[in-house]
Amino acid sequence: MPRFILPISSKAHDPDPDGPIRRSLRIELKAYVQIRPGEFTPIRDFRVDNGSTYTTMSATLARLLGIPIPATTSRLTSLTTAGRRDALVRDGELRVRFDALPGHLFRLYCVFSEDVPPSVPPLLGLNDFADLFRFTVDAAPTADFPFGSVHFKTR
Amino acid sequence: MPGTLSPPAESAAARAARILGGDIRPTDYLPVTDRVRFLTDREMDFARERLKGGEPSDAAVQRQLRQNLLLVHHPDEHVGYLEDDHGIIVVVTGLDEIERVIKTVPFELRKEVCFGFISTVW
Repeated sequence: MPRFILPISSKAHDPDPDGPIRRSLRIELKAYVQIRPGEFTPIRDFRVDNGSTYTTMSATLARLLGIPIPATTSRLTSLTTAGRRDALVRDGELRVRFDALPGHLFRLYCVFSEDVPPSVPPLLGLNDFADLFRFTVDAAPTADFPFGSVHFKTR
Repeated sequence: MPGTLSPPAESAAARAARILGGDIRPTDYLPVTDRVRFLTDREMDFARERLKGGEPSDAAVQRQLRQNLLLVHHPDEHVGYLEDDHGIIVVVTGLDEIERVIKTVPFELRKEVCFGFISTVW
């Protein structure tokens, strides 16, 4: 069964001189997104986010990169860490490949949001990234993955 | 030097076209500055703590250094970049320039250009 391991990334920063040094951890995945048959463009910073219901991407970013998005729109209300948010969205699909699994093309249900700015990284949410991959977070440090790792296995 | 003229600065568009055409120069790579080294060393000190004195692998150090190269040189910017064994070359910055490259450069020439926003806030 195809599998791969990703490092957990770490970054220390000091947003407030009166507060503690903050250490941020994230699970970041480079994906090649299909823009036309046979043409894939790499995006560096997909975030694996099991707190997110949907795989989500800024519609502005998708248009800029030439990723096809549907014309039909609808409204979607979601609960975020900043409270309830009502957004104009387009329900579509991402076709992606990953470095570690060449030759495999994955189709992901994706909500393209008109209300998400292009500086927000695309999120790989439970619906339906978790239908394609089983992933396990392992915080145990190793020489190769000192901040921990995430193990992905296709279903 | 008196009496000599500096060569005209290369425009961002000309530089991107040159690099995507395969003419890559050592000065195109993001330089490893003192700030990049400091941030990498700080993170690796934390790694050693987690490893209880063990050493992070060369691959882990390189990964951290490359992350910091982009953070130090292009904080909070949209970039398109190439990566090889020697380092990272930022080919294009800003949404307008990225759009221009995508619309005008043939896909075959830009297919390895990786896009992303280098966020200083995680």
